[in-house]
Amino acid sequence: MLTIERVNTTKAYEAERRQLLRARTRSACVLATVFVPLFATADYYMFKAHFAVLLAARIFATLVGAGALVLLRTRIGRHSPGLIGGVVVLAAGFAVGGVSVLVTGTNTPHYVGVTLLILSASAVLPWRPIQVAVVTSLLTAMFIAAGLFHGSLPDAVTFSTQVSAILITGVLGISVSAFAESTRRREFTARRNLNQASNEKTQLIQNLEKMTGRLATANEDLQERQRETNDFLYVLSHDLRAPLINIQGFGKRLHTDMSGLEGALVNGSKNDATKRLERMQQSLQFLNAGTAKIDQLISRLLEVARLSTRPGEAQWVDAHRLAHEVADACRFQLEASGVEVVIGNLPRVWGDPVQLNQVFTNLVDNAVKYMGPSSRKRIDISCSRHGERYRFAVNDTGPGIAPKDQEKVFRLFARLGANGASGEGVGLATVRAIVNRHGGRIWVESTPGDGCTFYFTLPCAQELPAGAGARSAASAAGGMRQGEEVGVHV
Amino acid sequence: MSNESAIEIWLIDDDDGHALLVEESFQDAGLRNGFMRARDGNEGWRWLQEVEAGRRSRPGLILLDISMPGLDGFEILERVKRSKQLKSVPVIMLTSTDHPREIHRCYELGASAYIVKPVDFERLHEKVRTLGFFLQIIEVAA
Repeated sequence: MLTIERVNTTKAYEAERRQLLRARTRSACVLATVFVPLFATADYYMFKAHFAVLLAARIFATLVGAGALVLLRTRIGRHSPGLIGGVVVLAAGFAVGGVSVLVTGTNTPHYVGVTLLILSASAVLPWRPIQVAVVTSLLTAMFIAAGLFHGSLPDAVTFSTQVSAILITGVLGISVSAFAESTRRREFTARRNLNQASNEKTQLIQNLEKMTGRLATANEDLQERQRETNDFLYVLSHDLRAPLINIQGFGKRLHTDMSGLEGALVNGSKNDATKRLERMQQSLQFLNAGTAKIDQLISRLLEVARLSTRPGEAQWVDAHRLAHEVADACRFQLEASGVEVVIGNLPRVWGDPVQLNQVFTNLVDNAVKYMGPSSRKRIDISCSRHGERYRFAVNDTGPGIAPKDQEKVFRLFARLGANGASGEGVGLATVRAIVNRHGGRIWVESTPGDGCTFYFTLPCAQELPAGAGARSAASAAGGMRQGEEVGVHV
Repeated sequence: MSNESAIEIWLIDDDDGHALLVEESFQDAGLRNGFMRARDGNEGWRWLQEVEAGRRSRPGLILLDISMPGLDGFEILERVKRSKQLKSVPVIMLTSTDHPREIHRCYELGASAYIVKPVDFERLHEKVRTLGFFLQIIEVAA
């Protein structure tokens, strides 16, 4: 792991270094086009030879130096396209001594300039010490060869001073480039580490955001569960209890009347006995009604409760076709109440076709039932995409729902009964159970007097199996599994 | 207690069976009040509006269920207590929920008593008698 990391780092460093070299070489090329003629001019005034000869000498020297470096580069296998330009400035300076000795036979006083050039180039151009060393040796060799070739050096001391000056400069250049190289490498490593750390941080933040998102969803789910539990408790404490209370009451009444009847029979009061019997009959009727009511409520309650646990047959469902099917199935009811249904473009969704059909059917049915005496009776079904969810909207032109009732409508057995419309208060509770099971949410927005819109969301992706599994598992294990699921996925 | 007949008792409850039991319990207890029963919140509120408009005589006492189709007990209670003509009418909540939050809410809204179903009729009659007594005092003082 570490080795791989190191190799990658070296590779990345080399790539960056090459890039740097290329960039600086390009600048050096530009400088060279100015400096080569300038040096030639300086030579001209200095040596009093032909300008053309001096210029040619400069260019020749430059090309020789560049050629040598290219060879060197190629040999060590790191050919760089912008390299030639890079050496131009240096070589121009380096070679001048040797060439000028050859051409003029004079030792020149401007070697200081040449040595400075070596120094600055080794610092500025990203060269390796070895490269500086090779160039310096090459130039020294050239200088000595030129001096020997010329044969008549005016001053051997000056000559050796010049040679040592070049060599010292070379040593300095090597140290400078070594220092620059190590600095660059350190800087690179630091920068890379920083990048890595910042990447890791970004990733951490992203993970955290993802986790927060999941927690928020889990929290919403839990709140939804809490609400369902509250509703269930309400149903237990009120809707189921009300008929039980009546059964109790009429049981007592029956008991009282039986005692009364006994007394009446003993006393022989026929009138009283008849009255008692009538009352007993009435009590029995209420008792029967009460038990029937409880039975019915329990059946409905179970139906809705099963929706949130039973695994559905999930598949891709064309919501557009589904909505049209629902509208067709309700056509008689729609025509009878004069309601027009407009279906917009609906996408394909992943879910249980039967249950999704029930969602549309119940919503349309609900809208028709509570439409009231509106002048323009219309139901609009549309859909829009919000992030990873589709948001379906079923809008009607009915009387609307007051804000305080907007949560209540989804409660099991809740009836607003504003128009005396009949209903068991099961339809919307069923819709909510189905939508929740499909990993969506449902809510209603309405301005009283101006219709209402039921919104529900469904995931765009094939999410149901996992989500539904988690939901049913959560309901089975009292919500604990929900948290686990979050932990595993992050 | 001759004044008992002076107060008319209204029951607003959608449950037919329970309404019958309440009405009979009054008769059995010898409370010979006028007794009216509204079948749901909306009907009850319609009657109360008629009282406000002066087309119907004011009830001496309202027995109110909470969970009903149409307007629920909370809303009727709130409206009664907001109305100038009606706010002195005592309201006894008769309901099957015994959730502390709902009880608290009812008292906050101005209910005179909260009785959880199944109703202990003796307690109810006692309350009715007490309230009737106070009602008389108030009326005399006024």
